[in-house]
Amino acid sequence: MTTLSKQQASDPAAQRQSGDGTRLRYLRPYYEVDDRNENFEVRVFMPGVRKSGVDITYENDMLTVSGTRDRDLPEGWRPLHRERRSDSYHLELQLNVDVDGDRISAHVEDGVLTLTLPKAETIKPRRIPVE
Amino acid sequence: METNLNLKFGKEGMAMQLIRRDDPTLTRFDSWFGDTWNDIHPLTQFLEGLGTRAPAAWRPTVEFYEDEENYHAQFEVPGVKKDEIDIELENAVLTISAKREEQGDEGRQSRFAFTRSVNVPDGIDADKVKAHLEDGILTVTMPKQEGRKPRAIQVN
Repeated sequence: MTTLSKQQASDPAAQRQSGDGTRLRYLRPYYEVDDRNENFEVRVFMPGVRKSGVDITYENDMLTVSGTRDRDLPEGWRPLHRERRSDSYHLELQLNVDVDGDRISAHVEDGVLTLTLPKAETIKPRRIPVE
Repeated sequence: METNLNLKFGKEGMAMQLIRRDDPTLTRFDSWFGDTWNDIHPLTQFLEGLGTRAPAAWRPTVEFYEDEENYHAQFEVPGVKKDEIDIELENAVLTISAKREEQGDEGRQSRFAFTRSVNVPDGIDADKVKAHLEDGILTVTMPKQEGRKPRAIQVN
């Protein structure tokens, strides 16, 4: 599992894309997942993206997140050095477990989108009494 | 390959449990942590820490701008709180660092640590440097010293 990023990093196509500093259509954001007992929590890191720039869909077990940041620079700002290669983010996650799609909630704070995915009844942890 | 995709995000296997496939159409590795492959991705760090979330080396991207009065450096620091950031300007090097040591509670990511330095031009009025954090972007505004500002020269 440690190899995944490395494999990709050594992918010549990817390297080319990275090396020449081209602008990309979108970036794939870094994300984290936690199991919170009743919910799964997914945090998607999209710096500069506000609530209004986020679009989330959930369909057929596919969770899709898009984020766009405001690309307007303040008046009079001239770029001297840029590293960011896109103003847009896109992430698609095919979920492996049943979640209650109607009750997915989301909020954005400090450039992090936090999605709370309630587990469907069938997969919730259950306490079994000993009889 | 597809099943492996899940593992890289797995904290105690949870991501693997939740997510079957991750960006099936994408093999590109896009990261906002920098534009060179030599950058250390926090993910790699987490994994190399054998699944624990040891403080990760994380190199935020920086963008540098200029207007008539100021230089502006913008760092991408999503999820980082104001009181977790340190900013230093010394010998024309601007350094930001941030650190979180506790485990993540609900709604928060867990530990991280990073430092990023950039060279800044001479002639900054160090006493008037300001910083502003919004939407995961830290903007450090460095006013130019009086003598460095553009001046209209009268033609006689």
